[in-house]
Amino acid sequence: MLPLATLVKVGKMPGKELSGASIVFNGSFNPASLNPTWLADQNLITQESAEYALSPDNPKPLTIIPQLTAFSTDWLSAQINPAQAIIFTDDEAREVELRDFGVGLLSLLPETPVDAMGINFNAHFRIESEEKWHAIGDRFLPKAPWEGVFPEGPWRVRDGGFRVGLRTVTAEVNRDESGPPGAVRMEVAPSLVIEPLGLFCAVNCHFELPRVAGKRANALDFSEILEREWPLAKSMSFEMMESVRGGE
Amino acid sequence: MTPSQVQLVPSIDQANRTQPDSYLRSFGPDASGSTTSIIDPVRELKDQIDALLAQTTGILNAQHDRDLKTFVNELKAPEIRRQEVRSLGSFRLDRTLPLATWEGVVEKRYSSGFLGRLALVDNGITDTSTFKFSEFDLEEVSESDFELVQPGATFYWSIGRRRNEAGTVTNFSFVRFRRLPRMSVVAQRAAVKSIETALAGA
Repeated sequence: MLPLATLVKVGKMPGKELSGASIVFNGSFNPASLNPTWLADQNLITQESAEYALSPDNPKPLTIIPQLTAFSTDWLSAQINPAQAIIFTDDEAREVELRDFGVGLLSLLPETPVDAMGINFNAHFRIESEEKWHAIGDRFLPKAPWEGVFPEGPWRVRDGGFRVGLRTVTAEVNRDESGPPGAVRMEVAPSLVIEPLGLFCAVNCHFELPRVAGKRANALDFSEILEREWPLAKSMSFEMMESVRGGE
Repeated sequence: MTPSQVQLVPSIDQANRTQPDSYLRSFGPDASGSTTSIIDPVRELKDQIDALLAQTTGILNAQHDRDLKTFVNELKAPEIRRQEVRSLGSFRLDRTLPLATWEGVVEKRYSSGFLGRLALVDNGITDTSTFKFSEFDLEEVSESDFELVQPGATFYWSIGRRRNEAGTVTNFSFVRFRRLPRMSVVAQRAAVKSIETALAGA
C-alpha cells in the first residue's frame, strides 16, 4: 500500500455533505428483461449484489413487471420503464463504477434505440455562514424585481428584509458544433436536506443524437459517448459547483 | 449578472428530459422525512408506477424529502402496515466521503495478491502523466472479484472516511475490479473467425 503521507486530498469539496450521480437513457427498453439476475449473468453486477437486490431483507423497493423494473443493490439503484432507463448511486466512491455499468448495459443492448442520455451529478453543501448563504441566493436571484411581483400583502418578511426568496433556479447552455448535440443545465436551490445553511446544486449533461435518414441512434452510439464524455462531465460539474459555492 | 442579462431559454422538452425530477428524489433510498405514516402497499406501488410512467424522468436524490412527507401524508389508504421513514435532520445518518481514487491495472498476479500500476483519478479525469505502483493483498478484494484479478485487468482503489448511523467515523480503503459484460457467443465466434483469418493470411 502507498503510505498515506503521500496522499493529497483531491476531489474533496469543503462543506459537501451529500452527493449522487445518475445516468438517464431515453429510448425503447424491455424492463422485465433487465433484472438483477440477468445483469449478474452478464457479469455487470456480482451474484451477491443480485441476491441482495432480490432479497426480502433488502429494505429498498423491488419491482419487476413488464412495465417497470426497479431494484437496488448495496451501491446501485436502477429504474427502467419502456421509455427510460435510470441508474444511480449515492456512493461517491463508486461513481466510476456507475459509468462502467452504464457502458456495459448499453454494450449488451447494441441495437436498442436510444435517443438521449443525461449524465447527472448533484451535491448538497453546508455553507459556512448565513451571510454567505444569502449572498449566493442574491447572486443567482436578485430579489428586487420579484418584490414587485409579490407586492405588499400578508407575506412574512425574511431575513434580509425581502419577502421573496430563492426556491430554485435553472440555467442552460447548448453545445456548439464542436461537441455532441445537447445541453448542460444547472440547478441551484436551497437544500431541503441540509438545514440550516444548505445549498443544493445539480448538473445535467444532456446528449441527444437526432435521427439520420429516419434511423434512430442506438445504445452502442451512446455507450461511446458515455465513455468519452463521463470524465469531462464529472470535471465540469465539479468546477461549476465550486463556482456557485465559492462565488467565483 | 443583472436581471436584464438573464436570458430566457426554451422550456425543456418534457418527453425527452434526462434530468433529475422529484419522483425519484422522493422515493430513492435517501428519501427521508420525520413522519411515521400508514401506507397501503398496493396503492403505494401503483402510485409510484403511475408517477414514473407519467413523468418518465428521474434520479435518486434526497433533495425533495419533503415531497415524500407530502406523499405520505396525502395517502388515506386503510391501515395495513407502518412505514418508518428516517429523519435526516441536519446530517445524513450514513455517508461515505472518498478522499482519493486511483484507477489501476494489474501488472502481476501473485498467489496472495497482485502488483498494480495506479493513476490518480482527479474529479473524473484519470491522470496518466504519472504512475505509482503498489502491492495489494487478495484479502483487500471481494471474493466475487477474485476471478477478475488477472494481469491487464482494470481496478479502482478508493480511500476515504465513512460515518455510520451512530456518527462513528472510520477510514476505509476499498479495492474493486471493473466489470465488463461477458462476450456473447456471436462475438466470440466472430473473434475466433477473425483470428483464424489473420493467421491464415500470415
